[in-house]
Amino acid sequence: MIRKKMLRLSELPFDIPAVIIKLPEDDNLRFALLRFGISEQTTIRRILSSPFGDPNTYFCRDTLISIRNSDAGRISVMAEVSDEA
Amino acid sequence: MKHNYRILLAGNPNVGKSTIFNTLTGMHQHTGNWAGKTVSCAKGRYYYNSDEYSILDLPGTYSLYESSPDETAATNAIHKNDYDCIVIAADASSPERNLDLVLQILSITDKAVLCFNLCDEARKKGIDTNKDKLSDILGIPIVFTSARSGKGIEELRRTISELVKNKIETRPLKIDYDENTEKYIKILSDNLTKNGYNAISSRRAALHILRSKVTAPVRIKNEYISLSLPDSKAVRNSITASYISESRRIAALCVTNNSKKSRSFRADKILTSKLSGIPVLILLLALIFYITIIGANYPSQLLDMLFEKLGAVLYKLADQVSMPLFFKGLLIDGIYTSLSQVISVMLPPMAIFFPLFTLLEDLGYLPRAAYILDPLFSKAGTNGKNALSVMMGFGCNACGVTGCRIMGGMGQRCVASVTNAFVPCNGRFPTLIAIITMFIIAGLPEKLREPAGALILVTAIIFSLAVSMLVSRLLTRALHISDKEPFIMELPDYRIPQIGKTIIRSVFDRTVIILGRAVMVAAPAGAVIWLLAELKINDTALIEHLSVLLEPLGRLMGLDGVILSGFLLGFPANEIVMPIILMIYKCASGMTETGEMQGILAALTENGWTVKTAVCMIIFTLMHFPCSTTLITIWKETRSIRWTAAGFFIPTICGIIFCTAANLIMSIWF
Repeated sequence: MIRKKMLRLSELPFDIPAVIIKLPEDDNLRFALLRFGISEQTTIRRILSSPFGDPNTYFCRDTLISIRNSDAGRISVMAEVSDEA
Repeated sequence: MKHNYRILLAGNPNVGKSTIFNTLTGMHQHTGNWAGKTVSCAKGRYYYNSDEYSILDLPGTYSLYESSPDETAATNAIHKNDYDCIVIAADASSPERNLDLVLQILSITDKAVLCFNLCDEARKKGIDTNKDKLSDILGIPIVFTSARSGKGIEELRRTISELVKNKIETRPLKIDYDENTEKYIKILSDNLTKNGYNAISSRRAALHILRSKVTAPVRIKNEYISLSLPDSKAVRNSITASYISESRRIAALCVTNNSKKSRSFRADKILTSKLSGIPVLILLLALIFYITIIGANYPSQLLDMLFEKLGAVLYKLADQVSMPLFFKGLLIDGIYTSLSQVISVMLPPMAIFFPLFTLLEDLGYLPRAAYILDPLFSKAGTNGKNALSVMMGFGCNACGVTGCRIMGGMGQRCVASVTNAFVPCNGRFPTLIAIITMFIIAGLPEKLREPAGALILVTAIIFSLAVSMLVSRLLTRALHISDKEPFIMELPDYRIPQIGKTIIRSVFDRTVIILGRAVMVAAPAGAVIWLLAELKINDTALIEHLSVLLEPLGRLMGLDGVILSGFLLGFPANEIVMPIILMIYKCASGMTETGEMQGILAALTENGWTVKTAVCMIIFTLMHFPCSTTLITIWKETRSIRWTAAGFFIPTICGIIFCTAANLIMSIWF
């Protein structure tokens, strides 16, 4: 069954659009994301993984952006995913 | 009457800003498919209807929060308000994201025109922006351009001219910030108004203070520091979020997006995938090095021959004007020889390596290389962008140090600059290859020599890079600079490079500048070396005295005093280390022929060189103080005596330690 679920960005399955619910409170990371135009309510999609599995490429506001897994793990998103995911 | 107007060109990185600048002015600033390419402001001018327009190209920035030197430069230039109009360059294929910066700039100035560049690419991607509607909402004129083909540039010139002559009226969109932010804006702007600011400029200055991270203009901040803004970080974040949500709202009204998966995405599936990402990276790098090393041989020999002939002509000329022996030696044997050696060894590989590297840069592959290698460099306390300065270091360490500008924070930038000396540059490759060929693989069967030589060279490089990463990790840990900067990077679309222009520009941008610096130091160094070899105390040349002085340290390191003198005197350029060593040996024993490989080998073995000496020589070639050009560059980039000193001593100390260890270990066998 497909249902709306809250996940960490790093856990988001590939090619599924998600909406950012919460950015980390940590000032440096939060500010870095905001500078790149990533805020709460932004739609984001994980599209590729790098050869070492970290970082990953995300598609966000018509741009490809790479984010490290440790940073992505601190961003909460809401996505429609199947129960298995 | 003829007028002179001042124009600023601002915009996000990688939107073709430099191309717009070049097309407007007819200049040839290098354009790169890479965030942070324009690291300093370029100036240019053009004429339109007999008026002169001076144009200042600001560094590309994502925002105006002064969180990097580039952003500070751009923000200050925009706030200065001493221009007639600002051209905001934006990428038509990601309009929403580019609107963030547009809105920030419109909160500072009224005189702006939005230049939506790369509109052909956007159309191909299926992204369409309603120009009239957007212009109506933003309250400024908009021009669609494809600067590379020159499309829309004439309209841009016309719009700029109408704007500066007040033929177009603008009414920039005003953003409503949240209640809390508006409260602080009011407190600050009221205070500013009392101090002589008018209503508009006080609101702008207040926003500037609230937006800036640390370096708000001291002049303004000092006056109102007593206000002690509570929780300024939260206010700044909320201001930023306001721009982002406003961009989203505007884009929803004006942009139709039928984008399909782009060609870049399909290319990335191959070029950065788990399976093929690393092999492709290795293959590309290997190809560049192969072409450089093989391709440089012939022109190097040719230059060498030409310089030799020219040298003979100079000798004749000197004889004809009966130049005193001393000056003849100083000018021809000293300065001319050293200069010609540096140029003939350094120029061809640089003129091949950098254009190839620039082609990768223009293609948009370099950020991908940083992306692939990030996990490796994150272990060393830096990030993937460090991989690029390392790659540039293979061409020239001074260029590698300049390349460190793209690193995020100042701390990481300094560490990357200092550790770049561990990357063997083009100037050191000939020495490494010659020593490996003469001493290490000479005893092997003919067929095995080449592959074994390549393997040893690669192992040596990997060893040096491993040490550099260890040093980098220790430094970032000790100084607490690791992991403070989150690593978030844009991967720009792949673009077909403009091959001809790229080659010509990269030769001028990098090769000629670096060669110029090298020549500046090689000439006086040549004179000093010649004087040291000629001037005698107690019938012994000064250079030999120096060698005797350095002998104990040299012996400890498995080398000798002459070799260390060679490195010291080769400080201007690594290329001249081997020739100096040979010259000192020659000076001491009165040898004559040192030209060919066999002659060099004979000279070295005669002076006690063994496999052990060769191994230690390889280690010290990889790890010693960088050349003077690089050191000057480290100082210019960091503006810190401490980091410059670290750049000198850290690799040297590592070299001494590893040479001594290798010497002691090998002494057990040899």
